[in-house]
Amino acid sequence: MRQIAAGLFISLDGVVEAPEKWTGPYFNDQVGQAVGALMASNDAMLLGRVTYEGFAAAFGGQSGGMADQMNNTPKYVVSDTLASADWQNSTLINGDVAARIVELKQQPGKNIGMSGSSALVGWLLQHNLLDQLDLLVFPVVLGSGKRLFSEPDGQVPLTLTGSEAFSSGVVHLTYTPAR
Amino acid sequence: VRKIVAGMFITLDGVVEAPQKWNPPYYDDEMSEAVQAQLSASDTHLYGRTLVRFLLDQGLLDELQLLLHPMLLGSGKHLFDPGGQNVPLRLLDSTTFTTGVVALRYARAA
Repeated sequence: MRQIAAGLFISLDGVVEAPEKWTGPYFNDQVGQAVGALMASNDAMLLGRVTYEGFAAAFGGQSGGMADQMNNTPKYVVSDTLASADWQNSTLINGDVAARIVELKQQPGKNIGMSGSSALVGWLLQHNLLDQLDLLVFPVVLGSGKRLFSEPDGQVPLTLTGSEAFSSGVVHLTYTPAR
Repeated sequence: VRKIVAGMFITLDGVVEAPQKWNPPYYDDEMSEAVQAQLSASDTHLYGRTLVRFLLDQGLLDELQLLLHPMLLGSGKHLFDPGGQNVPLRLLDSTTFTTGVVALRYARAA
């Protein structure tokens, strides 16, 4: 069965918003390799609406390396507000989202990767639908910005399956749900 | 020169409130030793989450030791409330415990 694997850049105070603004100084070859390895294990993406719209605006209609990859990859966007998903190779998921995601996991293919989409990652964690969470913890306290998780009474225990510290001070932590 | 070192139990979503409610499953001998080592290296204790933030913002905190627990809480006070500055730190070392807790030690970025 395919797994859903989310990768997030996160600050020491749990902020995941707008990583392009604060990850730069710590983004070395080791971080790049870790991100590349995560991406290589996926052949589709699952995104929340906010991240989907951001990616569509950045890559839609563009061409070349990253844009080609993003445009060609099958994308699933979860949203109750979008009427349609118009970016190429996109599929809208709404209604019984949990059932649709279980179906998606039963289709053949490599893993389904998630980037950003923190609200959806939180929801999947709470509904025990996320199979792997990779956090790249950056050595910075931000003081503002949206956090990974803000579900009241939503305690979710995880199991640490990997940890590696990089020379720039970034720590790569891999978690799976604690069963 | 004496150092000011802050040690906190923290979850993956940055919550530090009432750790006695959520850290017991992870509090084994390894954790106990880490906490004891930190306490025995000190002869004066300052308490307060707000104070830690103030010292960090002022560049007065020498070391921040986080015991990062493998869980998300979803609610509770965070180590750093919104509104502070962007403070870059330097990772001194990281240690992984068998319980999945990761001990992270940071100093101010030079």
